[in-house]
Amino acid sequence: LVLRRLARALEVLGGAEPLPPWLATRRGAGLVLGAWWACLFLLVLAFAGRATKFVYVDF
Amino acid sequence: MTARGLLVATLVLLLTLGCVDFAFGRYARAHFLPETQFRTALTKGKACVVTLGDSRMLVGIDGEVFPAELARHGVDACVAQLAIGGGTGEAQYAALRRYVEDEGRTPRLLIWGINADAAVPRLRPPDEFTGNNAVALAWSRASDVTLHYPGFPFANFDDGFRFLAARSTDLSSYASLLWNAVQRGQDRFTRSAKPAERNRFGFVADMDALEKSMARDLTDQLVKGGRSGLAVASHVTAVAELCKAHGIPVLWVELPMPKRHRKQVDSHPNAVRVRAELARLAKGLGGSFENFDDASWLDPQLFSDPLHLGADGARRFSAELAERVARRGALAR
Repeated sequence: LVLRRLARALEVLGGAEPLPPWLATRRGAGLVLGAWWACLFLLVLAFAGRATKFVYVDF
Repeated sequence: MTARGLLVATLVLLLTLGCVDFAFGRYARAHFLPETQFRTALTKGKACVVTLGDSRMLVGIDGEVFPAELARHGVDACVAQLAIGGGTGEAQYAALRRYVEDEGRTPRLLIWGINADAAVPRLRPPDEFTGNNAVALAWSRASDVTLHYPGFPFANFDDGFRFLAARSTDLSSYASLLWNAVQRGQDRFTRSAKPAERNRFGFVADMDALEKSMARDLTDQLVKGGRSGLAVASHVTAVAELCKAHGIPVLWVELPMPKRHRKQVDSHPNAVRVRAELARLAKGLGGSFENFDDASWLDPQLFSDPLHLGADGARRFSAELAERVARRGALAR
């Protein structure tokens, strides 16, 4: 049961399944969803590139 | 999810990204090495001798020896270093333009270290504007799209569009800095970074590979450039036009290179052709072209890797450069 719930939660987080009705109709769901999208976007951006060979940045 | 909920989520997404972009941009500008070097250059004075180029010029100019030798030859001038390690011609042009047009500085003399391999006409995809070369995005203007990608939007549309998209935000302009930080973290986590010989410019093996690619570029890219009627890269002519418009005297310098590079790259027939074009451009600007690549004092011991002068080499080159600057009266006005 735990694994099934975890799988379901991951599918919802990944966008493979719609939000459950109790969450979709909840006040503030849009805020949480927007923040989650931003997190995903930034994660993709951070891991989508390639390191350069000649970088002399102090960063 | 209701339509109102989706709208709120979209607005939150855009607002969050906007805030992150703002904060990341501020952080990037405060820690980006070319940015701090540029700010240092601004502190040197109003009408300085400005040096421009890539990492070869950056190490070639000894910050103490060059001004001291200029003074010894009777030239009292501040020296501002605008050379960018790993910076392509596009980045160098953006740096000079920012210095001259945005900051309102007029160099007393521009010394541009540019070897034939860096002046080869080449369409550089925006993917290559990474690391220090992010300058070509961060300090660019939208109009640069036609400079880097001639014929846009009717030709080179894909590269031109990606350039415009990449330069539109700080997050995308400086994204490669984030990638490098992530890569370093991953290497530490997986302990996959192999110990290899490196110096301040990167792995020596990578520089070896870069040097080999230069000879290849001279053949391949000049053929393509020849088709479009370009003898030198568009950023070279852009720098020339910028200097002409602002009355900046230019000394073009072919930097000293190790023997193998001279044999494989600098003596290539296309390199000779590019060098002749650089000399012609210099003459057209009332400047001169100084070739240090055939200097009699060149010794393998003076180089620290396949591309860069070592500390002794930099002192020797700086002294020789100051002497030639004084001899040519390039600063007399």
